[in-house]
Amino acid sequence: MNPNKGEVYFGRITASISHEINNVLAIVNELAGLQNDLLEGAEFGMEIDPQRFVKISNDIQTQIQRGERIVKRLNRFAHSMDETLSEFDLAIVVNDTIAIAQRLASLKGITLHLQSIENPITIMNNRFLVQQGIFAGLELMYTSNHGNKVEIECRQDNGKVEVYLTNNEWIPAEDWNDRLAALSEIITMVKGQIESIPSEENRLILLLTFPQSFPLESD
Amino acid sequence: MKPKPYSVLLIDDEAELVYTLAERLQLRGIETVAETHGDAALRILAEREFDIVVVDVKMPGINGIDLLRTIKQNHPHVQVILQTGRASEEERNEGLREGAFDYLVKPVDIDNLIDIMNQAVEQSKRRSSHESE
Repeated sequence: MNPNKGEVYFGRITASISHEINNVLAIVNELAGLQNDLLEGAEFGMEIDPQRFVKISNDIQTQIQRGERIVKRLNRFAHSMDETLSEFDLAIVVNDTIAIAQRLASLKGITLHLQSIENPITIMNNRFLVQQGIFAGLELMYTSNHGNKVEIECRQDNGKVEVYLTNNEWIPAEDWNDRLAALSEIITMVKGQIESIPSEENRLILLLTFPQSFPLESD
Repeated sequence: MKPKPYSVLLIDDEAELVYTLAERLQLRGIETVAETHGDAALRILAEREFDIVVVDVKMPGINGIDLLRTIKQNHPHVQVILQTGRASEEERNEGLREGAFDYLVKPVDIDNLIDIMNQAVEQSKRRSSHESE
Protein backbone atom coordinates (compact mmCIF):
# COMPACT_ATOMS: atom_id res chain seq x y z
CA MET A 1 0.00 0.00 0.00
CA ASN A 2 1.53 3.32 -1.05
CA PRO A 3 1.28 6.21 1.42
CA ASN A 4 -0.64 9.26 0.22
CA LYS A 5 1.05 12.66 -0.25
CA GLY A 6 -0.19 13.91 3.13
CA GLU A 7 1.31 10.90 4.90
CA VAL A 8 4.62 11.30 3.05
CA TYR A 9 4.72 14.99 4.03
CA PHE A 10 3.84 14.17 7.66
CA GLY A 11 6.65 11.59 7.74
CA ARG A 12 9.20 13.99 6.29
CA ILE A 13 8.34 16.77 8.75
CA THR A 14 8.39 14.55 11.82
CA ALA A 15 11.64 12.89 10.67
CA SER A 16 13.27 16.29 10.23
CA ILE A 17 12.05 17.54 13.63
CA SER A 18 13.11 14.35 15.43
CA HIS A 19 16.56 14.69 13.84
CA GLU A 20 16.81 18.21 15.29
CA ILE A 21 15.72 16.99 18.74
CA ASN A 22 18.31 14.21 18.54
CA ASN A 23 21.02 16.78 17.80
CA VAL A 24 20.01 18.80 20.86
CA LEU A 25 20.14 15.65 23.04
CA ALA A 26 23.54 14.69 21.60
CA ILE A 27 24.95 18.14 22.44
CA VAL A 28 23.51 18.13 25.99
CA ASN A 29 24.95 14.62 26.39
CA GLU A 30 28.44 15.87 25.44
CA LEU A 31 28.22 19.03 27.57
CA ALA A 32 27.10 17.05 30.64
CA GLY A 33 29.86 14.53 29.90
CA LEU A 34 32.42 17.34 29.70
CA GLN A 35 31.27 18.69 33.07
CA ASN A 36 31.73 15.22 34.52
CA ASP A 37 35.16 14.83 32.91
CA LEU A 38 36.33 18.13 34.43
CA LEU A 39 35.05 17.16 37.89
CA GLU A 40 36.76 13.77 37.66
CA GLY A 41 39.94 15.55 36.57
CA ALA A 42 39.68 17.85 39.61
CA GLU A 43 39.65 14.79 41.86
CA PHE A 44 43.05 13.93 40.41
CA GLY A 45 44.37 17.44 40.95
CA MET A 46 43.51 19.05 37.60
CA GLU A 47 43.00 22.77 37.95
CA ILE A 48 39.45 23.93 37.20
CA ASP A 49 38.37 27.35 36.05
CA PRO A 50 34.90 28.08 37.58
CA GLN A 51 34.09 30.20 34.53
CA ARG A 52 34.40 27.03 32.41
CA PHE A 53 31.50 25.53 34.38
CA VAL A 54 29.46 28.72 34.01
CA LYS A 55 29.96 28.54 30.24
CA ILE A 56 29.00 24.84 30.09
CA SER A 57 25.83 25.54 32.14
CA ASN A 58 24.92 28.42 29.82
CA ASP A 59 25.52 26.21 26.78
CA ILE A 60 23.24 23.51 28.23
CA GLN A 61 20.54 26.13 28.87
CA THR A 62 20.88 27.41 25.31
CA GLN A 63 20.37 23.88 23.99
CA ILE A 64 17.36 23.33 26.27
CA GLN A 65 15.80 26.55 24.95
CA ARG A 66 16.52 25.37 21.41
CA GLY A 67 14.87 22.04 22.26
CA GLU A 68 11.82 23.82 23.69
CA ARG A 69 11.39 25.82 20.48
CA ILE A 70 11.62 22.64 18.39
CA VAL A 71 9.11 20.80 20.59
CA LYS A 72 6.68 23.76 20.43
CA ARG A 73 6.96 23.67 16.63
CA LEU A 74 6.30 19.92 16.65
CA ASN A 75 3.32 20.43 18.94
CA ARG A 76 1.82 23.13 16.70
CA PHE A 77 2.40 20.90 13.68
CA ALA A 78 0.73 17.90 15.37
CA HIS A 79 -2.30 20.00 16.34
CA SER A 80 -2.61 21.44 12.84
CA MET A 81 -4.69 18.34 12.04
CA ASP A 82 -7.17 18.84 14.89
CA GLU A 83 -9.72 20.76 12.82
CA THR A 84 -10.49 20.83 9.12
CA LEU A 85 -11.09 24.57 9.28
CA SER A 86 -9.71 26.90 11.92
CA GLU A 87 -8.62 30.48 12.44
CA PHE A 88 -4.84 30.78 12.80
CA ASP A 89 -1.91 33.13 12.43
CA LEU A 90 -0.26 32.49 9.06
CA ALA A 91 2.86 34.36 10.25
CA ILE A 92 3.48 31.58 12.82
CA VAL A 93 2.87 28.88 10.20
CA VAL A 94 5.30 30.55 7.77
CA ASN A 95 7.95 30.93 10.49
CA ASP A 96 7.52 27.30 11.60
CA THR A 97 7.67 26.00 8.04
CA ILE A 98 10.85 27.94 7.30
CA ALA A 99 12.45 26.64 10.51
CA ILE A 100 11.53 23.04 9.60
CA ALA A 101 12.59 23.33 5.95
CA GLN A 102 15.82 25.17 6.82
CA ARG A 103 17.65 22.00 7.90
CA LEU A 104 16.69 20.21 4.67
CA ALA A 105 17.57 23.25 2.52
CA SER A 106 20.93 23.69 4.25
CA LEU A 107 21.88 20.12 3.25
CA LYS A 108 21.72 21.50 -0.30
CA GLY A 109 23.70 24.58 0.71
CA ILE A 110 20.67 26.87 0.57
CA THR A 111 19.58 29.41 3.18
CA LEU A 112 15.93 30.34 3.59
CA HIS A 113 15.58 34.02 4.34
CA LEU A 114 12.34 35.59 5.54
CA GLN A 115 12.39 39.13 4.19
CA SER A 116 9.32 40.53 5.81
CA ILE A 117 6.11 39.37 7.38
CA GLU A 118 3.27 41.20 9.06
CA ASN A 119 2.31 39.84 12.43
CA PRO A 120 -0.31 38.55 12.96
CA ILE A 121 -1.87 37.44 9.67
CA THR A 122 -5.12 35.87 10.73
CA ILE A 123 -6.69 33.51 8.23
CA MET A 124 -9.43 30.86 8.29
CA ASN A 125 -8.43 27.71 6.44
CA ASN A 126 -7.11 24.17 6.79
CA ARG A 127 -3.92 24.78 8.72
CA PHE A 128 -2.32 21.42 7.89
CA LEU A 129 -2.82 21.84 4.13
CA VAL A 130 -1.72 25.48 4.14
CA GLN A 131 1.54 24.51 5.87
CA GLN A 132 1.96 21.56 3.49
CA GLY A 133 1.52 23.95 0.55
CA ILE A 134 4.12 26.41 1.85
CA PHE A 135 6.53 23.55 2.60
CA ALA A 136 6.06 22.08 -0.89
CA GLY A 137 6.58 25.56 -2.38
CA LEU A 138 9.84 26.01 -0.48
CA GLU A 139 11.01 22.54 -1.55
CA LEU A 140 10.23 23.38 -5.14
CA MET A 141 12.48 26.43 -4.87
CA TYR A 142 15.52 24.65 -3.44
CA THR A 143 15.41 21.16 -4.93
CA SER A 144 17.11 22.24 -8.15
CA ASN A 145 20.28 22.59 -6.05
CA HIS A 146 21.10 25.92 -7.61
CA GLY A 147 21.53 29.28 -5.94
CA ASN A 148 22.32 29.72 -2.29
CA LYS A 149 19.27 31.55 -0.99
CA VAL A 150 15.49 31.43 -1.19
CA GLU A 151 13.77 34.63 -0.07
CA ILE A 152 10.31 34.58 1.44
CA GLU A 153 7.97 37.53 1.72
CA CYS A 154 4.33 37.68 2.91
CA ARG A 155 1.84 40.42 2.14
CA GLN A 156 -1.83 40.92 3.06
CA ASP A 157 -3.86 42.41 0.29
CA ASN A 158 -7.60 42.90 0.00
CA GLY A 159 -8.85 39.71 1.66
CA LYS A 160 -5.98 37.53 0.57
CA VAL A 161 -2.47 36.72 1.67
CA GLU A 162 0.38 36.48 -0.79
CA VAL A 163 3.47 34.41 -0.06
CA TYR A 164 6.34 35.19 -2.46
CA LEU A 165 9.15 32.65 -2.78
CA THR A 166 12.15 33.88 -4.77
CA ASN A 167 15.29 32.13 -5.96
CA ASN A 168 17.65 34.38 -7.94
CA GLU A 169 19.76 31.55 -9.40
CA TRP A 170 17.12 28.98 -10.09
CA ILE A 171 17.34 26.12 -12.59
CA PRO A 172 14.38 23.72 -12.78
CA ALA A 173 14.83 20.28 -11.25
CA GLU A 174 14.07 17.30 -13.50
CA ASP A 175 10.81 16.62 -11.67
CA TRP A 176 9.74 20.28 -11.63
CA ASN A 177 6.47 19.66 -13.49
CA ASP A 178 5.44 16.79 -11.19
CA ARG A 179 6.27 18.80 -8.10
CA LEU A 180 4.44 21.85 -9.41
CA ALA A 181 1.37 19.71 -10.16
CA ALA A 182 1.44 18.25 -6.62
CA LEU A 183 1.74 21.72 -5.13
CA SER A 184 -1.06 22.99 -7.33
CA GLU A 185 -3.30 20.18 -6.03
CA ILE A 186 -2.71 21.24 -2.41
CA ILE A 187 -3.21 24.94 -3.14
CA THR A 188 -6.47 24.20 -4.95
CA MET A 189 -7.73 22.29 -1.88
CA VAL A 190 -7.28 25.39 0.29
CA LYS A 191 -8.96 27.57 -2.38
CA GLY A 192 -5.71 29.34 -3.09
CA GLN A 193 -3.81 30.10 -6.25
CA ILE A 194 -0.34 29.44 -7.52
CA GLU A 195 1.57 31.47 -10.05
CA SER A 196 5.15 31.25 -11.21
CA ILE A 197 6.34 34.66 -12.28
CA PRO A 198 9.05 34.53 -14.92
CA SER A 199 11.77 37.08 -14.47
CA GLU A 200 15.10 38.09 -15.95
CA GLU A 201 17.85 35.47 -16.25
CA ASN A 202 17.45 32.60 -13.78
CA ARG A 203 15.29 34.39 -11.25
CA LEU A 204 12.09 32.61 -10.33
CA ILE A 205 9.30 33.97 -8.17
CA LEU A 206 6.63 31.55 -7.03
CA LEU A 207 3.53 33.28 -5.70
CA LEU A 208 1.17 31.37 -3.42
CA THR A 209 -2.08 33.16 -2.68
CA PHE A 210 -4.40 32.15 0.17
CA PRO A 211 -7.86 33.59 0.91
CA GLN A 212 -8.10 35.14 4.37
CA SER A 213 -11.49 33.55 4.92
CA PHE A 214 -12.25 30.13 3.48
CA PRO A 215 -14.99 30.40 0.83
CA LEU A 216 -17.66 27.79 1.61
CA GLU A 217 -19.63 26.20 -1.24
CA SER A 218 -22.73 28.26 -0.40
CA ASP A 219 -20.80 31.57 -0.58
CA MET B 1 46.98 10.83 31.48
CA LYS B 2 48.85 8.62 29.02
CA PRO B 3 48.50 10.00 25.48
CA LYS B 4 46.83 7.63 23.02
CA PRO B 5 49.13 7.02 20.08
CA TYR B 6 46.77 8.23 17.40
CA SER B 7 45.19 11.39 16.02
CA VAL B 8 41.56 12.07 15.20
CA LEU B 9 39.79 14.53 12.91
CA LEU B 10 36.13 15.11 13.90
CA ILE B 11 33.72 16.57 11.34
CA ASP B 12 30.16 17.61 12.18
CA ASP B 13 28.17 20.70 11.19
CA GLU B 14 26.81 20.96 14.77
CA ALA B 15 29.63 23.17 16.08
CA GLU B 16 28.75 22.82 19.77
CA LEU B 17 28.71 19.03 19.47
CA VAL B 18 31.98 18.65 17.57
CA TYR B 19 34.00 21.08 19.69
CA THR B 20 32.74 19.60 22.99
CA LEU B 21 33.48 16.04 21.87
CA ALA B 22 36.94 17.16 20.72
CA GLU B 23 37.63 18.68 24.15
CA ARG B 24 36.53 15.45 25.87
CA LEU B 25 38.82 13.35 23.67
CA GLN B 26 41.70 15.75 24.30
CA LEU B 27 41.12 15.41 28.06
CA ARG B 28 41.65 11.67 27.53
CA GLY B 29 44.96 12.35 25.83
CA ILE B 30 43.75 11.79 22.26
CA GLU B 31 45.06 14.33 19.78
CA THR B 32 41.87 15.74 18.21
CA VAL B 33 41.04 18.41 15.65
CA ALA B 34 37.42 19.49 15.10
CA GLU B 35 35.92 20.91 11.90
CA THR B 36 32.38 21.87 10.91
CA HIS B 37 32.68 21.85 7.10
CA GLY B 38 33.58 18.93 4.85
CA ASP B 39 35.59 21.00 2.36
CA ALA B 40 37.66 22.59 5.16
CA ALA B 41 38.25 19.09 6.60
CA LEU B 42 39.65 17.94 3.23
CA ARG B 43 42.05 20.89 3.24
CA ILE B 44 43.23 19.93 6.74
CA LEU B 45 43.70 16.31 5.60
CA ALA B 46 45.81 17.50 2.67
CA GLU B 47 48.09 19.37 5.07
CA ARG B 48 48.58 16.78 7.79
CA GLU B 49 47.97 13.12 8.51
CA PHE B 50 45.35 11.66 10.81
CA ASP B 51 44.83 8.06 11.85
CA ILE B 52 41.06 8.36 12.19
CA VAL B 53 38.33 10.61 10.78
CA VAL B 54 34.93 10.62 12.50
CA VAL B 55 32.39 12.21 10.20
CA ASP B 56 28.69 13.07 10.39
CA VAL B 57 26.73 11.63 7.45
CA LYS B 58 24.23 14.48 6.94
CA MET B 59 26.04 17.76 6.43
CA PRO B 60 25.58 20.79 4.17
CA GLY B 61 27.95 20.89 1.21
CA ILE B 62 29.94 17.65 1.01
CA ASN B 63 28.00 14.97 2.86
CA GLY B 64 29.63 12.27 4.97
CA ILE B 65 29.43 9.50 2.35
CA ASP B 66 31.03 11.69 -0.35
CA LEU B 67 33.67 12.76 2.13
CA LEU B 68 34.35 9.09 2.95
CA ARG B 69 34.86 8.31 -0.76
CA THR B 70 37.27 11.23 -1.21
CA ILE B 71 39.24 10.35 1.92
CA LYS B 72 39.51 6.68 0.93
CA GLN B 73 40.68 7.70 -2.54
CA ASN B 74 43.32 10.18 -1.37
CA HIS B 75 44.25 8.76 2.05
CA PRO B 76 43.50 5.01 1.92
CA HIS B 77 45.19 4.31 5.26
CA VAL B 78 42.95 6.67 7.19
CA GLN B 79 40.17 4.89 9.09
CA VAL B 80 36.79 6.58 8.72
CA ILE B 81 33.97 6.19 11.24
CA LEU B 82 30.54 7.48 10.21
CA GLN B 83 28.13 9.08 12.69
CA THR B 84 24.48 9.77 12.04
CA GLY B 85 21.46 11.18 13.82
CA ARG B 86 19.15 8.72 12.07
CA ALA B 87 19.99 5.05 11.62
CA SER B 88 19.44 3.76 8.10
CA GLU B 89 20.34 0.23 7.05
CA GLU B 90 20.80 1.37 3.44
CA GLU B 91 23.12 4.20 4.46
CA ARG B 92 25.03 1.91 6.84
CA ASN B 93 25.58 -0.66 4.08
CA GLU B 94 26.67 2.03 1.62
CA GLY B 95 29.12 3.46 4.16
CA LEU B 96 30.64 0.08 4.99
CA ARG B 97 30.82 -0.81 1.28
CA GLU B 98 32.71 2.44 0.63
CA GLY B 99 35.25 1.49 3.30
CA ALA B 100 33.97 2.99 6.56
CA PHE B 101 35.24 1.16 9.65
CA ASP B 102 31.94 1.56 11.49
CA TYR B 103 28.61 3.40 11.46
CA LEU B 104 27.44 4.88 14.77
CA VAL B 105 24.12 6.43 15.77
CA LYS B 106 24.17 9.65 17.83
CA PRO B 107 24.30 10.27 20.72
CA VAL B 108 27.45 8.15 20.92
CA ASP B 109 28.86 7.14 24.30
CA ILE B 110 32.44 8.43 24.44
CA ASP B 111 33.83 5.19 25.88
CA ASN B 112 32.15 3.25 23.09
CA LEU B 113 33.61 5.67 20.52
CA ILE B 114 37.10 5.25 21.98
CA ASP B 115 36.73 1.44 21.94
CA ILE B 116 35.81 1.57 18.26
CA MET B 117 38.66 3.98 17.48
CA ASN B 118 41.09 1.64 19.27
CA GLN B 119 39.81 -1.27 17.15
CA ALA B 120 40.19 0.83 13.98
CA VAL B 121 43.79 1.70 14.86
CA GLU B 122 44.55 -1.96 15.65
CA GLN B 123 43.18 -2.97 12.25
CA SER B 124 45.40 -0.33 10.57
CA LYS B 125 48.43 -1.64 12.40
CA ARG B 126 47.67 -5.23 11.36
CA ARG B 127 47.24 -4.14 7.74
CA SER B 128 50.50 -2.19 7.66
CA SER B 129 52.43 -5.07 9.25
CA HIS B 130 50.98 -7.43 6.60
CA GLU B 131 51.98 -4.97 3.87
CA SER B 132 55.54 -4.71 5.18
CA GLU B 133 55.98 -8.52 5.38
